[in-house]
Amino acid sequence: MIADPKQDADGESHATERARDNSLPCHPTTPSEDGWKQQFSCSGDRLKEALETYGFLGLEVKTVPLKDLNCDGCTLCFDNETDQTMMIFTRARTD
Amino acid sequence: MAYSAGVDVGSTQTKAVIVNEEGTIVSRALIDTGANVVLAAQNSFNSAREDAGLSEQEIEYVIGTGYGRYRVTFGNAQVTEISCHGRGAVKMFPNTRTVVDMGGQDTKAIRVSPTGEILDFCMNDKCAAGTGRFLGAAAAALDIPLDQLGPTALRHKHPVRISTTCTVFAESEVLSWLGKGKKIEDILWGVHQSMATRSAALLRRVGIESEVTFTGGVTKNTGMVQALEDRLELKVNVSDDSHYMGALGAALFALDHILESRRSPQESAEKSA
Repeated sequence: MIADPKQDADGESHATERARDNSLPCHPTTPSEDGWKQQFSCSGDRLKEALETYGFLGLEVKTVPLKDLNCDGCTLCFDNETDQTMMIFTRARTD
Repeated sequence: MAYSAGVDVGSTQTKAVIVNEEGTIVSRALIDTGANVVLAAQNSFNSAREDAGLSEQEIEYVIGTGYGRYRVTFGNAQVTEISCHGRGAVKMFPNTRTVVDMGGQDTKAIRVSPTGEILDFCMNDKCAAGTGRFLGAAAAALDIPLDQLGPTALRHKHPVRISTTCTVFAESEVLSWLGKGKKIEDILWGVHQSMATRSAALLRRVGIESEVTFTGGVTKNTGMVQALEDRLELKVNVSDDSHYMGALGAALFALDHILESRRSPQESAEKSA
């Protein structure tokens, strides 16, 4: 990770701040070779909302069950869930 | 005079707004959503309608938004809450280019065009970290009413650093700091800073362009407004109606429909050209 020179009053850089964001179950990664950009995970009505909005933005969208991804963060909120949590990926349409 | 309404059914609260032909708010209502989402939508709409002294017939078009938008059974159409928050924010603050919406269950970062169209957005992951629920957990742990969280936090002198934004672990960390003799205001400010950091990270993912408008129920928390401004190093737009931004956007989309339906086919063709 490239260090961000901007620091807050506590001396914490924004790079560190992003690293702290690793508590997310699967934090965003750089776009894959085929252009898919990892967005965020959700389920149920929030998932419908997100998919509808990304579609409205003209993006191609795919979802992958979170349990099928290699996530190294906390999954406490996803344990024993009734709806399957999906990770959303988007990319620009090529057609 | 035509009137339109927007009903924003959120996970915690349901909001209704009625606007006139100029797009000016004539009434608003807010109620707890509770278990019966359909009833909450109906009650909030009726409350706003009665407050404006309007009959159901006088409100020509109603749009539902929010996670429960399909439960607005009396509505004419639905629009996503992300679109509605963008539209409402630009109406309220025309120079808005970035919106941060902090609600009870999720936080959204939205980038908008000068006309309020959505350019990009992202939401927090499914875990409740960094959402209004985290503040609720801290309030419960410290036995402080939600409306006192902000004012109490703003009295801080030696803030502590809260290492988690996880709702599950919030209570134990807050109690741990209390056990170490830290003051409630210093702990609470740490909680607010932690949430602001999380929200700022979300905003950077869509790109922060000034002006930034803060919407959602958490805008009522003056401490959160201050913490966000400190973290972003800029002033954020907040209004007394920030809580109603989604419902306002829905009402404006509904008004578009009314005005469009009045145009002659020729006028509509000229407008779309």
